[in-house]
Amino acid sequence: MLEITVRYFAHLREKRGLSEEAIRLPAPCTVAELYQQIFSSDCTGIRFAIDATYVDADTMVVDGAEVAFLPPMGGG
Amino acid sequence: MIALAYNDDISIETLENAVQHPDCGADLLFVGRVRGVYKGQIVQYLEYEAYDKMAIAAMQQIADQAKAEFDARVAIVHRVGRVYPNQISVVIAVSTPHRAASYDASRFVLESLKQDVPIWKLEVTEQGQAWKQNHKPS
Repeated sequence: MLEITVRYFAHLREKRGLSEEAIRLPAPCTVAELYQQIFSSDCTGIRFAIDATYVDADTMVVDGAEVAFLPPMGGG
Repeated sequence: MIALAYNDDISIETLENAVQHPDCGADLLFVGRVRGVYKGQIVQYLEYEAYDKMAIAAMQQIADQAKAEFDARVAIVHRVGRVYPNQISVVIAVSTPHRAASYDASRFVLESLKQDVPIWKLEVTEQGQAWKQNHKPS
């Protein structure tokens, strides 16, 4: 069992209705698989971070991690 | 100086002071402001949202890259929250020994910020609202 925190931003936060939540995962998965489980949609255009650092879509989620789904950015 | 400004106006002078150095003969300031009109629609305000700790880390990384590549001293402050037309959304100050590098460094920092710093922008117009994403330079 993995216990993680997931952060949501911008339209993903609105879609989920939450800015963050604690999730228990029965089995390890990648950040992209986690996204697909939560949003039931393809992750095209979404970037991923673990503990505030960019990671690839196929990076495994580890116990205690803060996972963030980052939609296309708009700073500046 | 790398920071997010939540409700306060950004002090341009503070950023410029932060990068000045006796070795540097060129300071360059980039000031980003909210446009009042977008594609013919009146913009009421922008609402910026940030993944705070990652945004700070990403801006620091960009500043470090600018130091390595252009020998630039860099300060960046970006607004978070509601910003109205003509108000400042971002200020980038760079200081380099000579002028050419300051232009290159300033552009590098801004384009990197738009690409890699986790900040999002909700544009609210009279017609509705939408999350706007960055595109290539214009």
